Amino acid sequence: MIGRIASELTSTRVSDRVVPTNNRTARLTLVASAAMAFLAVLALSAALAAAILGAGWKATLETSTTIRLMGEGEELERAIAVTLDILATVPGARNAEHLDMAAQADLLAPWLGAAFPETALPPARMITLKDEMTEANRAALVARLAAEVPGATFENHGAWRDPLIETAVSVRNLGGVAVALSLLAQSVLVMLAASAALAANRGVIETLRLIGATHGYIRKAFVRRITLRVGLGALIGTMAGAALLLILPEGSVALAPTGWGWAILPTIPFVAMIASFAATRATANHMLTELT
Amino acid sequence: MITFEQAGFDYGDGQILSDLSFELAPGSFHFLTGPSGSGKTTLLKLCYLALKPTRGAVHVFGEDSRTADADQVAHLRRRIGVVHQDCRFLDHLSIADNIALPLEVSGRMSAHNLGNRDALLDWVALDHRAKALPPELSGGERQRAALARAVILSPDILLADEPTGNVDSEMGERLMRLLIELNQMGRTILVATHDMALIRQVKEDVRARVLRLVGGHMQVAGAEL
Ligand SMILES: Nc1ncnc2c1ncn2[C@@H]1O[C@H](COP(=O)(O)OP(=O)(O)OP(=O)(O)O)[C@@H](O)[C@H]1O
Ligand SMILES: [Mg+2]
Repeated sequence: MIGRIASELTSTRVSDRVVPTNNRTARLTLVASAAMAFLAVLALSAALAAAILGAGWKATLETSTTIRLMGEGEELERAIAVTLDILATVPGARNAEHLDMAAQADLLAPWLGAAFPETALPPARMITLKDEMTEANRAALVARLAAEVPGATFENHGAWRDPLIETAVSVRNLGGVAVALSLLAQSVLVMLAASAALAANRGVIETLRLIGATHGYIRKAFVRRITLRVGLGALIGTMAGAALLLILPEGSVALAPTGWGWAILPTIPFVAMIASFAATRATANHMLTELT
Repeated sequence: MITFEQAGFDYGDGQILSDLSFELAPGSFHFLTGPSGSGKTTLLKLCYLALKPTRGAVHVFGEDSRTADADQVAHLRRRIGVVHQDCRFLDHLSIADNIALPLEVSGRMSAHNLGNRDALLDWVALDHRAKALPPELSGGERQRAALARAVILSPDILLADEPTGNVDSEMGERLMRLLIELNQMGRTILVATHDMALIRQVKEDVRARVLRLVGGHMQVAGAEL
């Protein structure tokens, strides 16, 4: 495929000149290709950002779990110690941590205000952990807590967490759909531009044919010209899109891709050129078989 | 070189040409005459394979035009120079480039052949107009440029469709002299024209025959002038 594209795109100076350069369809092809590439850059980086965001959310949500302990004084302190001991024996229950009164007050300060007296807090304490337990281990843990620590409640937040995870996943998928649609639209547009360019040059094609040009010669001249023009347009559009991402103010959600994300952008002009190559070839073949 | 065997043609709405049988022998010079609409251009198109006969057969250099594929057609056309009634240039290329175009599409572009092109520009007296674009030329200049393009590949056969259609009688005679010169160099020539005065003007200088089309038939097939 690449080899065939390369051989059809090599310059012979001749094919550079037989296809008129300066007509309306030629300019439209360039502008349309640039615009589509620009949009593809935005869709692609939005999708990347959504994927990263979604993955982050998912990871955080999936692993955060709390155990709430009710009680007072000595009894409560003992319940905390027993719970931490039990957690230490359960595989997959990581980073178990007891939030003392001060930490708990800090956590609630945004809602209750810093001046809220500690003593007014309900007599409950929290242990947070990262939940990477298997179903069986989790069930065993819940059973042990029920038996050994009265007043302990295991909360895995399933009720509100699952819909959020679903949302994160669909945000990521939507980004992918947007990219796919944008590339599809780019390909369709390039095909239309290729057909228009060929139709606009029907007279040129007929004349070339009359003076002894083979189908291959004519096809090559047009495929080369149109593919290079689409590629140039897509390159301009991609660079403009990348430039926009770079000057974007740093917001709470970073839209600009990071690291490897940038490496995906150069694929946009290539996709455009492959679409253009295939479309121009097919359209040219169709038109040439119509002529004699 | 080109043989018609009971060839007929219609565009789908009635017979334009029927039952044509004749041969263009190597080195011959033919005039094709007939009233406007009698099918002269159509007959030439059968010769350069732009059309295929709907009845009978046309053989070009021994090749049956009905079975020739696209590449064969291209290669046969390189051996047939055609001066089209409407010239058919690429308007975005200069006259010099248009004349060299057959060299380019057949992959014969070379310094030597470009020298030939410049000699041809001299021959048709257009060297001073080499850089002009086709739309900037007068009718007679266009006809001469078309003739130069038609002969640049040294074709065996030259077909000219009303080559003197847009020019005065003096220029018409000059063009005819160029065609006669080519014939004397051994080329087979077929000139479609309804200008009988022109034919009479040159009849002393060339052994030409006349094909006359009337009502889709060859009324006079190859009568000596
Ligand atoms: N593409 C076409 N489709 C249908 N009919 C056509 C087509 N081309 C030509 N004709 C018809 O065929 C007939 C012969 O046309 P042709 O052009 O061969 O005549 P001609 O002898 O060259 O005329 P002129 O001297 O005016 O150039 C005409 O009646 C014309 O209208
Ligand atoms: Mg005609």
